[in-house]
Amino acid sequence: MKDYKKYIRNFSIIAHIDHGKSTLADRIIEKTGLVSEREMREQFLDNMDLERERGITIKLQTTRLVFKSQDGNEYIFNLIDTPGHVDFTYEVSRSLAACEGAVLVVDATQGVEAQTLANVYLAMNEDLEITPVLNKIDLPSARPDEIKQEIEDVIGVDAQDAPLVSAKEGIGIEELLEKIVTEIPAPEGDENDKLKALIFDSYYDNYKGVVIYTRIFDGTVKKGDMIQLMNTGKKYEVTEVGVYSPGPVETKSLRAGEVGYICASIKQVADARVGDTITIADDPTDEPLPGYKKVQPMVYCGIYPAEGEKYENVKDALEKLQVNDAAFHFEPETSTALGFGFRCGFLGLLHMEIIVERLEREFDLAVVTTSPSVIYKVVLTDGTVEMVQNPSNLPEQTLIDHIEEPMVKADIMVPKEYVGNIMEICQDRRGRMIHMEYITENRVNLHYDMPLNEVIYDFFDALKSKTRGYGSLDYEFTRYEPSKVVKLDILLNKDMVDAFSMIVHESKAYSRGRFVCSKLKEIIPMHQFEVPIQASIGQKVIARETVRAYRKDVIAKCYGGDISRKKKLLEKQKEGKKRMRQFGTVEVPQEAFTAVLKYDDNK
Amino acid sequence: MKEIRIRAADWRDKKVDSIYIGGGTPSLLSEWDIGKILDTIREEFNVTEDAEITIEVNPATVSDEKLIRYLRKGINRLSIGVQSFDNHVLNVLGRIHTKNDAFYCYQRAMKLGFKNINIDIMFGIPQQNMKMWKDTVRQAIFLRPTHISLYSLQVEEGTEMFKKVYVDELLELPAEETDREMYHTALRMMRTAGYEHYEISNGALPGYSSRHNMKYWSYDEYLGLGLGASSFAGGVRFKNCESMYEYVQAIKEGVAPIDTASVEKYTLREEMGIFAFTGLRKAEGIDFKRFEEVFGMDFFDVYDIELVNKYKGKLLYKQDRLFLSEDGMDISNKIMAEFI
Repeated sequence: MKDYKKYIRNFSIIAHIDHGKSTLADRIIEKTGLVSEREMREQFLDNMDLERERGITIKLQTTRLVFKSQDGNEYIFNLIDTPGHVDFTYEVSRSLAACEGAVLVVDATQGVEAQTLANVYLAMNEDLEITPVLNKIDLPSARPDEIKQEIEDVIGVDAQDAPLVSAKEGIGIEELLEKIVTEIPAPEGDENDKLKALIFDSYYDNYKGVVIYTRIFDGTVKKGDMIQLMNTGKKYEVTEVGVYSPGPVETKSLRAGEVGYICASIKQVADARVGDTITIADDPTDEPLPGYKKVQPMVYCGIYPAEGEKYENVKDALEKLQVNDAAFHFEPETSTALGFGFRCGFLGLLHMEIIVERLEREFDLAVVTTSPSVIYKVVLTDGTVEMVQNPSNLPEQTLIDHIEEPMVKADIMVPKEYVGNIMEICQDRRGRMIHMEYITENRVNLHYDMPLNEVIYDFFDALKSKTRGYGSLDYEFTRYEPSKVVKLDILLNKDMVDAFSMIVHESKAYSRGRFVCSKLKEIIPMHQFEVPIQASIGQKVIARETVRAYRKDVIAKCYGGDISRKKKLLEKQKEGKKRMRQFGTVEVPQEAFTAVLKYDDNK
Repeated sequence: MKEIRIRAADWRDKKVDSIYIGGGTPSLLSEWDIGKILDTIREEFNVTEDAEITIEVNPATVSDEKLIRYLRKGINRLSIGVQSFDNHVLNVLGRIHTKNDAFYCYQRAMKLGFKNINIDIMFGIPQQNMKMWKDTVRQAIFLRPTHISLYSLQVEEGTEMFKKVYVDELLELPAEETDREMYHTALRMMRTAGYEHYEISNGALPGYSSRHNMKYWSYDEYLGLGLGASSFAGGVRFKNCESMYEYVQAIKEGVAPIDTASVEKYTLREEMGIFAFTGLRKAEGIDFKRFEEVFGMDFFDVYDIELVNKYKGKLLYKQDRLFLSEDGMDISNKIMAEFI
């Protein structure tokens, strides 16, 4: 049993959304006989409803599989899934750190995408062996030879022997599994050394507390051990260790090279942070694993209970979500317009949408979200610095020396015919092109230096719409940079509605102001008086629209005294009103808050 | 006639002080049939001496013979569906009569002895401009009927007008500002001429407000006879069936032709809402004393007086009643909805 490590392969599958990662994972699980076909749910690894619907993986799923190779040996495959979106880069990097190799899935009809590339670079940073595989080979539009060349040119790995598979049709899976055995190295490490294990994911279980997904690099961990999490310094007693195959199976121990789970009565996932190192409390390893960082929210927005929704219910739901999501933060805040609510921090816009959708679906709550904002670094005249993520908290203009905004490096990959469109939307969003490279004859990778603020509003929608869905985006925070940003306020009937306030660049203030005013004009119903909608910077009004006063209110005959009908009509009118928020004297439909954020094609 | 007999059973001990023959074009019926209907009603119901008995007539389908017969049978009020004194507007509305038909009809009715006449006029019609409307109002006032009804055109789904306006976009409704201006202009002109604006869309010379009209808005009981007619009796609201076949079947079997699906027994709170919103149709508004008589509760135990502040200058409060100002009438539905 000394060389048990020889028969372990720890790997991830990396792919662009839609390139078939989940389907391929399903096939691998099926082929290794772990789950019978009958038990097999489509896309085994994605088990949140939302993930299934959107076709993206948000939370990781890790599975231990047994594969009988043609060489006569049985191998243990630890398939470590990675989240598939730009907002979760750090989590992806930690999952990859738990592996020795990565299977790179490339759609044989589409080629390499920006996000694929981003993940490949992450994998390369972790020194992983990359095994390319071409998927969707069954489609008539597949161009395997061309794509192989593209992989070699762009990524620089040998792709000539890449297995040609169709995850959907189950073609080429066997060959791929053999490839994993021969190409991906077995793990190293010493099970007798001091414990050094990586947390690459965790989730909250109602009975067991936090369940940590871990990769053991050195040493052994078993039930009863007193462990310490090196970065947070906290100590816990291990209550259970085991592996997922695919459900949790308790084992005696986890040894160097193995992947499994640890339970230690930890109360919330924020205490067992992804990237942290687990060691034995009274016999710790010398130094933690590299690469740990505390994930910081990049985008903030207010979440408020909708009309008729209870504050407490929203709070309970947010708490439940937070237990399971270390990257999600919230704290109470009040808005004069929306009352009591919460300021919430997210990794990115998708993360935000997911949380809001989960509130609505899983908790059946109606909420109102305010304009998302990035965190601004406000340098005051007295030299102190304030980090501001809520436009309403921006100090008075006279106290501000200057404001800095977060910048990102955005990589956008598109077919070359859309380059012009991309340049247009990037320029429009204050992007500066760093450089542009032709990956192949037809595909271009554009590197932009852009304010995050511009990325979070509608950039992704615009990108998709201007490239007919072919463009892909990856971005990464780089630095804070001084910028001429201003606070744009919206006034309804002369009263400022704080929930609509946003921080925008000076150069965009006018167009943004006009856009919001005209959107609100469309959405706000007529009142019995004129409702001026104004956008202002400080005291200066920069855009204005007016919702005309309610006029025709149907003065009609009540034919034949059918009062029931009249009553129903009035009820309908009243029903429509309930979905409104009252701001001072003005009623605003809830949809207004999201509508002002939407990308407008006709803009 | 059969229905009258069937339905009268429940109304034997109730006094009937208003009969209204309308909905559709009753003047198309022969005057003899109208006469028989009225005779039957008088036989079966306790119709008071001074009952207001109205018939709706279309200027193009009425004749001296008919009018004389109506008078003979005790019809004392005529409602003429003039709609407009502009031939072009009448054409847009798809009416078969002309401006001259309307004048003639009115003059004949006066001459033959009708003392109490209503003229219906309509505004907010495609291609109708302010001048045309003012002319119509002026001419209506010039004839000096005892009663004038003004309605804003309602474009109902499924009508020819709906298709022209919303589907084929051949016609365009006047702007809402224009529509409101037409309404207020007409009220002003009528007021100057001595008409009292006693209900949202009705004005009358003193003492001539329509009893029939006020019934609906005063929480009084009424019985609707004929296809699809609505009734309110014994705290229940219901309609007759809309299908001629079902109607005839029911009558043959000697039962009331009520559409059972339409029967609404509202809760007390809902009835209060109806009392309130119907009350607001009237210039005098909601009568608190009457409210207490009907429901045994104080009006402001049920509704928040804050509404008066919310609709400042539109919803007015005066000692014993709550009513809409002329401006308030513009947004009557919105305010009425508050009471539902």
